[in-house]
Amino acid sequence: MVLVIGAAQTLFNRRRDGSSFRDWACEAFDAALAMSGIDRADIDALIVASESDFFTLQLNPASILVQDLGLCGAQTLRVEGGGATGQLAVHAGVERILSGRARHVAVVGVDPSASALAGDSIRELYGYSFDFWTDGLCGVTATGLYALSWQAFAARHGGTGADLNAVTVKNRENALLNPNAHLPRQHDPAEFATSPMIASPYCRLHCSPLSDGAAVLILSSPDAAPDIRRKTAPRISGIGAASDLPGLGHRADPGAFSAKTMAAGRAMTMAGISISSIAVAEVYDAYAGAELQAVAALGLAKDPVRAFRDGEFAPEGRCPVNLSGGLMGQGAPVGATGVGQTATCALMLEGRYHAGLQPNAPLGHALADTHGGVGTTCAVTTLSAGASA
Amino acid sequence: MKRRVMLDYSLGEGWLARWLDGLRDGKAVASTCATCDETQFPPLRVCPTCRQRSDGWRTLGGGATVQFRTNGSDGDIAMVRFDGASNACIARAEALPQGATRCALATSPDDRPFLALKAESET
Repeated sequence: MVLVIGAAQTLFNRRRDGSSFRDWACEAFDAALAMSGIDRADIDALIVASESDFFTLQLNPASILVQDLGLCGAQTLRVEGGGATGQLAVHAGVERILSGRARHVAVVGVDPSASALAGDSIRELYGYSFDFWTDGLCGVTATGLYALSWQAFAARHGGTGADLNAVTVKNRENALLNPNAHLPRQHDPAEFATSPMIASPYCRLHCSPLSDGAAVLILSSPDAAPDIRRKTAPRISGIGAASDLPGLGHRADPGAFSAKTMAAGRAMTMAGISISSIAVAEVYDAYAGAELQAVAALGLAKDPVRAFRDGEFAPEGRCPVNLSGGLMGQGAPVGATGVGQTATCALMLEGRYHAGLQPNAPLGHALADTHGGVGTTCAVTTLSAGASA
Repeated sequence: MKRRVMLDYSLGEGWLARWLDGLRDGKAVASTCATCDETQFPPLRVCPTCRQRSDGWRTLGGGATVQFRTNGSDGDIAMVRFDGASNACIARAEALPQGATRCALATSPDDRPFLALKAESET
């Protein structure tokens, strides 16, 4: 297992203050480093999660961040996996420690996904997140593909437009208590009827925002410098990743995130736990329906739509999902998204999360789930509470 | 700070050239696997069922059935299964009447081959 001794993120939003992704990475890193109790010189490796050089206009971003963060000399690695970029970087950091190649690793997720480019440019670039030669050339957008996948899921599981509205309301209301959230809102049900249709049944309100921001984890080997480790530091107990065919039509069930099921199984096997042990989960809700598809794929409920309607994933439910607000409410600076999810879980397990969102009862295990494409590149991380937490 | 980057790509089409040429000609060219009798459209280099290299090409009839469809400000897109294919695919559907359950492959521009649909009666 690997300890999470530092976890922090910046505000996720659209920056209009003239700051850059380099500033956000430093802000989150400084906060995580202060929490960790270690020094810059203790960090052996820097793993950078950044989805696209089109956003940062910086090839090899790890080379400049290692300088800005004062970590020159450390091993560097840049990780990219579409929407799963951040979670895959967490996995890379865990693997560095488990392999013995590093004792302390900084995982820095950052992207200027909102402010660097105009909306039309971003929409076009994200069309290339899928198979450019087939789907990308025909001009389909992420929203279009997610809409088709949701329709296939709903045909099998019975989800409706009312469920999409309810997921949106839940996550944006959770975000009201998250000071780092991009879209903290209390939606009036009537808003959905007038929200512009992007790709039926997804209207604009059903889509997560693209955000600017950064998130950082400081990971540590349990063997390293025992005097600086908090006994309450949560552990990353399992990591799992898997892939699916990128073309929805090539899949046996275009509504099922089958690779996510495989990734979760691998993470839980490594952790030695079952899905029923998970007390809280941060799942990848790029679109409202994707949350229910993720819940189904992770195995959080046999009948995911029924369980959602019964309130099992509400803040006071059996397994609260996306207490942070998720991508829908907290926002999505893509490289930072998975790192931020894992940071959220770690802070909750240690009882350090935002007042009003921190679960009252002690938590045993948490799960962070991310994917790139439409459930194509999947990465799941499980975390466990520290011994004395 | 403002910075504008204009990029003009020239991309080789590689093993997908036969499929892309088919789209330019309005023909649905699929890959085939003799081992398990699968026909993939769009083509796959390796059969997803038996994981053997696809070993041939076949031109489908060009008719297809609509499975799911979405429209809005991001355009009109459908998931359709072409007759004779083992799988479905994603295609533009602007030229297809709403409610249509059958459709056909439209011809693409030479410089941008992509899957687009038209009404089946136009074939």
